[in-house]
Amino acid sequence: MRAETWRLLAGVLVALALVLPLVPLAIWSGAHGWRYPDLLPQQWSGKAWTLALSDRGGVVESLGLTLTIAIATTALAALVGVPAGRALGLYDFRGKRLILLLLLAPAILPGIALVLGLHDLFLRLGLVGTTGGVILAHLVPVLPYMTLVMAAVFAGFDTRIEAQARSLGAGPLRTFATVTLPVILPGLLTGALFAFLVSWSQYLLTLAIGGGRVQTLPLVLYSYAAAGRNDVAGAIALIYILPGLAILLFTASRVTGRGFGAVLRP
Amino acid sequence: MRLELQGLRLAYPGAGLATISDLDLVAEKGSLTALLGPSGSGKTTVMKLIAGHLSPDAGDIRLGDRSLLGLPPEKRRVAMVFQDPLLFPHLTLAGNVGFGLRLRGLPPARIAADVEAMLARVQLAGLGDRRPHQLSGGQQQRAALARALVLRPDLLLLDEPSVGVDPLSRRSPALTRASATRCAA
Ligand SMILES: Nc1ncnc2c1ncn2[C@@H]1O[C@H](COP(=O)(O)OP(=O)(O)OP(=O)(O)O)[C@@H](O)[C@H]1O
Ligand SMILES: [Mg+2]
Repeated sequence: MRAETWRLLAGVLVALALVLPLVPLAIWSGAHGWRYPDLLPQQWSGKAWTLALSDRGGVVESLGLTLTIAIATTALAALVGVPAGRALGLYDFRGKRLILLLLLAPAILPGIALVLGLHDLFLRLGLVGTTGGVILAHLVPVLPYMTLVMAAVFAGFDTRIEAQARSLGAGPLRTFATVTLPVILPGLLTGALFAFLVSWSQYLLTLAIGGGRVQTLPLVLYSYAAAGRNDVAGAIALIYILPGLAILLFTASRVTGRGFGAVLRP
Repeated sequence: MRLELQGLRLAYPGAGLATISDLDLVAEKGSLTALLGPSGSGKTTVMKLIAGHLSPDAGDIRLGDRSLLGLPPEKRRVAMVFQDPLLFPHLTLAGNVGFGLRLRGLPPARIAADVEAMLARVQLAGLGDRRPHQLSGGQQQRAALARALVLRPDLLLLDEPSVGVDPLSRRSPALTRASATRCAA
């Protein structure tokens, strides 16, 4: 077979792997009851989508909350992760190895241990049950990730380019905005996209720290599923995967250096 | 403008001996001064001190009738061209050369005209829309020179000005007609 054919085949396989799990969700969201042996539902209905998109369903409100939390977490992670990553990537200092090890801790520790420890701490600080508390909790897995990505970016950064900008008349803030930021932007964007996704997909942390009062999409999704409303859960799940899908396509188009359309056409 | 270094001294942290010790130097207005020395002798270090990217442990740096000590690099009116071109990769050639002019808030038409004239002086006319990676090594070096020259600084510091600049363009008017005091290494 020619290389072209192989590439087409690989593209189709990847697309199938992506789309297949979505098929039952899509069917559920439009089904009016769907019993086991049936390959397809006997009856179709739009009531799951109507409920999901109405005020009554709480999904739209939850979507806004989940977005707010993910964006705030990402912004805070960038605010701390850029200077921290810069220090780690550019300079050698005592204790650097220890810090790098600690940064990996949330990835190594079992999630449930992390959640229990955090819950205890946040309870004492009066942060349990608040959106702010949930954002701070999301920073625990997100910030190390952002910091490590930025450390890698700055490890390949030549600070003389900043000295050059200063010599041409740019103050420190101007230099950051017009030289440093554009140069690190691709790396920062990658870190931010994944930070967003990590926050977006948190379930356990949100449940524990939010104390049931901060209802993000995965929590709402789970409560509908637990209540046996697979149709509404299917609709929410489809909404829930949208950002991930969008980011995947965006990243793919950046990696291959082609537009969205070119990615969709294998 | 007259440049004067008085008893300049610098030791890099951690390094035992001072890299620069008791350096005195006078460069008159409009003159060209060359710093010669073997690799690692401290030529780049002296320029970084004058440009303000390093602070001396002792001594004074005077340009005209003022001391440069305590002034940040962007307030010294000293343009330094580094050993490597260090072009800003996210800007075009014209964007690079116009960088300092934009910071001064000049009208865009004026900036475009100055950039155009400067590009012609360093034999890069017509390449303004190129990205740095689309230029040859020597072209990049001349672009870095143009980016500093266009600002008409009081003092122009050129670190290894002949690296990557071919013999023909080394004799180009840009290098011989600038009115500033120049230090080259
Ligand atoms: N950041 C630094 N920390 C410690 N030592 C340094 C640092 N930068 C330079 N040095 C040392 O200071 C000395 C002078 O360096 P400098 O770059 O000024 O030399 P140079 O004369 O420009 O050399 P070349 O001709 O190779 O460019 C060298 O021995 C160098 O190893
Ligand atoms: Mg040098």
